[in-house]
Amino acid sequence: MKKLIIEARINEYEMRDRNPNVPWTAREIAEDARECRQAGASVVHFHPRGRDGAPELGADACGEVIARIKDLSDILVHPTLGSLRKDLPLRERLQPILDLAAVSATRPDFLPLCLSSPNWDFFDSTSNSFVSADKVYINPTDDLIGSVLALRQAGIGLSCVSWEIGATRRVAAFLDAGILQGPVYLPFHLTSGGMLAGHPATKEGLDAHLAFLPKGRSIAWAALNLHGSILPLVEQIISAEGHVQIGLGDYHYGELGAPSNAELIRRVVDIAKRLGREIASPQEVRAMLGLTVPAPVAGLAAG
Amino acid sequence: MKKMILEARINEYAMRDDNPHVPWTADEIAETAARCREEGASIVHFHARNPDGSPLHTVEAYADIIRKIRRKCDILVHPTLGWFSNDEDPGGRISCVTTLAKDPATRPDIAPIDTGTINLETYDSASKTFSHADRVYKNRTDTLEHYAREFDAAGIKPALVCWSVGFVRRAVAMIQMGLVSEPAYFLLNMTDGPYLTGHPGTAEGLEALRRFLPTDLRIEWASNVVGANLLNLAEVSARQGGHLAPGIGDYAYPELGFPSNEEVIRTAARIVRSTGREIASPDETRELLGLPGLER
Repeated sequence: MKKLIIEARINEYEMRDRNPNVPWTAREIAEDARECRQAGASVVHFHPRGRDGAPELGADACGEVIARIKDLSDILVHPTLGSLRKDLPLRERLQPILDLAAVSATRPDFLPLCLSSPNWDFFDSTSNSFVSADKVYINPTDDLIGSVLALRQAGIGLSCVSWEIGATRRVAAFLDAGILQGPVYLPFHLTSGGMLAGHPATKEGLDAHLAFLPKGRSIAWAALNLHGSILPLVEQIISAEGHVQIGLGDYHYGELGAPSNAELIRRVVDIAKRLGREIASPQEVRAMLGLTVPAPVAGLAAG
Repeated sequence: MKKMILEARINEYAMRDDNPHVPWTADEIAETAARCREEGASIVHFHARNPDGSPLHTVEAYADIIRKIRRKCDILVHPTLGWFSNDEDPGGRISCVTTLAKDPATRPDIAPIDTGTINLETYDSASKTFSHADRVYKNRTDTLEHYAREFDAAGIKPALVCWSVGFVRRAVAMIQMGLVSEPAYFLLNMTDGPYLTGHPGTAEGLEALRRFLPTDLRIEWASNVVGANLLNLAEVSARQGGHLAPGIGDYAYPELGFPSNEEVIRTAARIVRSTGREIASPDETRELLGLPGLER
């Protein structure tokens, strides 16, 4: 069985009221990433934050975090595209990161693309109302195609995020058209806690995704759970040869006594050991996902 | 088992290059509705069209069609909101149906709410090219809430059109909010052929939507497939207690020799009856969906 990729999703835009261990500053993020690496994570996904936890949307802030992470460990670096700038066209959000990628000290290993346009509102089942009702994360397909080609040209790995079957089918079509080349890293973005846009984080929700994996393609699928625990699914994911994404950015894990990110990673490692699956190192992840050799895309214009 | 609703989806914005039977004018739509009714359809879903087939968005056009349909038969009337071709003003997209609802003679029985946002590109696997790759059919959550409130006030039953599991969850939230009353009518809208957006139009694609319908809510669901042969799902939909919404608006049915809508409905009804389920009349469909009785 393929080795297990564990990606630490350490902060998103979470505050500290329910778990004080959420890293915010560049220093905190780099230290947290190092601990996660030691615990068994091979990829770290993060959002740059200010001292007060406010989003840091500038490219310089992102570059500083990347450089500090790389100083402390060999974990693969997967920054956000700035999910708070969903108002900007995808390619405008991409450019500052592409600039960072031109310098090896600030070069990200992965960037995420969301392969659909979900309504991004939370439903509060206590009051039976939506907390917000105007948020749509618009990712038009032509922007996605342009972004995929630009990232390939820059030799940056892609995290092709699927919230729904249509997004997975889009990945398959991109592969068929030669826009994407395998292997593809495909996280299934399950959602809980009032986030309705994804599949529920249940066996059924995951099974419903897995039934539509592109056939005959090299796919490294993973699963995460935004606003709920992914732990109840980890055994199923590991047994089905998937990969695990977990962290305080997605959920506070208060029922476990508000653990650190590294503690969550250790729990996943323990389950993997029990099931006899080995943990992939960053170097092994590079090989599994074809990250060692940036794919040349001569002749394909970046949309 | 309960009787099965057949909804005829007769034209959408399909042209006649593939299937020449697509009805466009009010007279053609009314005639098609009546013939589909004879074959077992109890709901007709239609889009008003100009004589050249282009989309038409006037209250007068819809009123004309609805009056003509009702003059011919008792089929339940389910007009479009204009889909992405009427996307400039999402809030105003429903003014046509809410205006029609002011007169009982032209009040739509049912109108659709797509419960989320989708990319609506097409992909041609032969040429490996995408078309309409900039097209996003945007339905903000507050827009959906607005539609549901307005429909409720106007006495129109919403058809909750679900393209993904997230759409199903959002539609369920609308029931929990009291915006949509039970029994709720869900259209499980799969896509195939050039359309990537929804679940594949297979038993697996259907199951991956159906299993997320809560069993503690009263929900009547129908399957439909944009871009492929829905008749392949007639038997499984019938056996699972669902309903069916076929028509040549969604697919030209070349494998059946480009049939008319009434021929597709006749074939669907035959398959459904072979499973032991009977076909619901418009009055029985009113009862199944909790619609008010006939006022005319």
